[in-house]
Amino acid sequence: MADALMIGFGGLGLLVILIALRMPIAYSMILVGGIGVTILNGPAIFMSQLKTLAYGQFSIYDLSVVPMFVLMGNIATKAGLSRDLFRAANAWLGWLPGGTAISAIAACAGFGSVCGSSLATASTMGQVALPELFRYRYSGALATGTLAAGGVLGILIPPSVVLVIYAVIVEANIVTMFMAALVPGLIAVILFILTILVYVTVNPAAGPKRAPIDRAEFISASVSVLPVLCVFALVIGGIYFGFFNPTPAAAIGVFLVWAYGTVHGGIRWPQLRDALLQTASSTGMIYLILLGAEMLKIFMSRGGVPQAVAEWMAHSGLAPITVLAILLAALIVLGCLMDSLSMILLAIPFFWPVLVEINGGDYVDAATAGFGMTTEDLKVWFGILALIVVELGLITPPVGMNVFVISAMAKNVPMRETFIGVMPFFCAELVRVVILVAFPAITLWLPTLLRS
Amino acid sequence: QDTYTFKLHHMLSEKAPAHQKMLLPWAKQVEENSGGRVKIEVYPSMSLGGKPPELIQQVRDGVVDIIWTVNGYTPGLFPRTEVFELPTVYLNDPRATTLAMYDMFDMLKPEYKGVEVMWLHVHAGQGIQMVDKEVRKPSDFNGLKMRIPSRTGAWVIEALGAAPLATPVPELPQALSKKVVDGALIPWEIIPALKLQDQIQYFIEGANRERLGTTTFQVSMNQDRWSGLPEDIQKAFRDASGRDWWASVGDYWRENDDFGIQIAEKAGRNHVMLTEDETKEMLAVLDPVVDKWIAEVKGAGLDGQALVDQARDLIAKNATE
Amino acid sequence: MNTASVVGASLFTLPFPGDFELTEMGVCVAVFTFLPWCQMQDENVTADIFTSGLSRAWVARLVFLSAVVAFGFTLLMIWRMSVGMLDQRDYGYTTTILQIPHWYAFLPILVSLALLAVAAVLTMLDAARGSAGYHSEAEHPHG
Ligand code: NA
Ligand code: NA
Repeated sequence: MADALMIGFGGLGLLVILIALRMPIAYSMILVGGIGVTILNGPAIFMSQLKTLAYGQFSIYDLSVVPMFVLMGNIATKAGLSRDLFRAANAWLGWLPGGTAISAIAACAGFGSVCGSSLATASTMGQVALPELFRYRYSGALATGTLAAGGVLGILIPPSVVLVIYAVIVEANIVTMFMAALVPGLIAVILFILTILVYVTVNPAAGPKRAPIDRAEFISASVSVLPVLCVFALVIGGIYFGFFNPTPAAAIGVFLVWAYGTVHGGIRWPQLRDALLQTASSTGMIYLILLGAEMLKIFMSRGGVPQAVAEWMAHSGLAPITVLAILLAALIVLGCLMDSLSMILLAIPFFWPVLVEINGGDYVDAATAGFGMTTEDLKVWFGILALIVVELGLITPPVGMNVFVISAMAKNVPMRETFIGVMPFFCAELVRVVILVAFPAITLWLPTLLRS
Repeated sequence: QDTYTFKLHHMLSEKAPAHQKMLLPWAKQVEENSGGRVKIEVYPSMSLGGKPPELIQQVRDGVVDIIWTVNGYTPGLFPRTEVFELPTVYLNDPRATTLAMYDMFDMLKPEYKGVEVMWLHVHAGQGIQMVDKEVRKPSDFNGLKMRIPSRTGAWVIEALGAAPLATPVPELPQALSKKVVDGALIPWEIIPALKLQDQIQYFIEGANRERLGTTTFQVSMNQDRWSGLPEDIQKAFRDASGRDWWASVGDYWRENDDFGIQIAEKAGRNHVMLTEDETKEMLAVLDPVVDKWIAEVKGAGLDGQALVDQARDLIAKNATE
Repeated sequence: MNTASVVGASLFTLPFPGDFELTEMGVCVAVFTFLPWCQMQDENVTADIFTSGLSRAWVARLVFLSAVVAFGFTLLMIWRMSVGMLDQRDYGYTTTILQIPHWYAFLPILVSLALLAVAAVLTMLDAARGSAGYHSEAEHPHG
């Protein structure tokens, strides 16, 4: 047993080396998983399992929503939604101090309500909002920082691909997870807006004021955003109120966004083809990581690693809240190296058993549970906290994909400045994590309400 | 002396009653019988990989040594055993039915290719769980949507005049609360895990606890692994999996089911038991399900009628034992 | 199909019991067809921080190495899933409601895997040129 455990931990070391050598994360997991199982139990087991493993993993019903949401987001990026959203947000919020940046955040939130990806949100909104921010002479740091941070709302506001994956790993209900993400997502929007207000109060030159727009533009801009609201209401509302399962809802969303883009003129065959091809490659990438993660999980279980970690943490005598803090901090650190999807797939299979153990098992009563809530609620609460901290990796050095995407668009702003500009938002996110940890009811309120 | 380690793989959580009260005690008994030469590691929650329907393939291939699985996950593979799932064949007695499977095992054995069966069992039967409609006769089902428990369960729902809808178990509470389905055919046993007492108003069964069919399960070992074991180790397994054990597994599923309905009753829900006449009427419309099954297994070269008669006989015999 | 089913199920109470398994099978087959394209687009996520300081030629060598792994794994999968297909056929595994034999789905999957092997070879050739100092067409920096 101890030998198996050593091999298991050795495998994790090899995984880090392979990833550092620029081996795709999916293939790193596949290699380590395959080699590990072969060393532990001989080649026959791994060979037999390969016969149907990929077929089984790729045909998990709950995952079928992933390509749908990816496609919906990809069509949305080309449908002209971002322009309308930004225009409407500007009409409503543009008059505030730092108003153009605040509008960008609001528009990112709107875009996030039809798009499940952070990078797509950052890049699409960046194309629309960055030129405006520079036109109004916003500082490079604030302009790029706002969009890099705003992009994160793509994942934090449902629909969210990472959240679907989390739900599949811990066997949570996707609908419940989407419900739980909504209020924390709105809190993120509010905190980001407050951050900008504080920022321009301290440094008024960074976000110059702008004249309010006229009534006609206000009305026309507000009307132009109605289609987005309708799509969100139908897709996410339809899921919340149980009219549709997530997969058909997402299929309807794809159709609506496509219809909008066609009528609106943004989508013709070349754009549609690009969206489909992009969806194909992103979906292939996501599923290959899923397969790798499954192979790694098999190896780790056979080596007894998750069991040992859970056992060790549970008997460490640490308070539940300390363990939670350690796990969240570990995710933030991992976020400096990895994308959020790989991280969720890699870390959650280790972290979740620890939390279940500390909470007191699957069927524990809230009154006697370590975290003071049932394990079902813990699943939801931890999922949202994990989602927030893995997304922090998108805006922290050294990798910070959102920062890369935005600074590639704003050629005149050095990347260092973007990282500096994003720091206040990073702090706002930490504040949000603290709020959500202190008051689990914020996360659990909507799922509980809609369940009854 | 050689020691033998076995990996037992299944889909439920390690806190699930079936893991704690059925699989672990059995594993412990085998270990004791072997004088410590056998070690059975039980892996819950599909932690050795794959989806639940792959379990049977995993044990046949030797990816794992032992599995606990639902026969219905791989439809068509266990047609003979399926007879025990049929409504009006399975009525209300998991112990008698599990023992009938034991007594009839020679007839069932041909379909367990590549595995050595440790034991088979059923759960306490599909109860009618309704969100807010009390159904007492077949016509009450008209226009309702019901969640399918299994292949033959879909036939039951159709025979009752309701529309069958496939809903994965984890989605069920949501589907019930939003009335995507009006009800479900599942045992009471599932109530605590899914907190169905929050969604379901009526838990309905027959006058003598009759249910509308059941589900069959197996615990099996890889055939080669089994054949390669020395006799004394085989005996350790055999002794832990004898007729008494099958009987107590049946009792265990009854107890667990009773626990579920107690939870619902405590929450103030209605545990409805139909009258004798209502029960008769309900079961009468399900006869065609049995006929349909007999016609279908004929295609696989099986004498369905003989299996039905034999199963009914043995269940009745074991019920009075 | 899916849209039709849910609209049917919720509005007109005309359910479509096999929709789950059709969706599962359809998505599975589709995802396999995406894999070659994903490989060609160099879409598989990598962590580039440790290697960002390396020369182009060295990065190309690492890309070559990962393409070799992709190629090897794909060959292994073609072999194992062919055996898997025969198993599925011989044991008669089918879907639950519609009773569609699972092995049907393996045929298009094997074709996709063959294309993935070709894609991996193309990546290898491209990376080999890159490591020898030629400009690499397939270079899509991630970030
Ligand atoms: Na989103
Ligand atoms: Na980062």
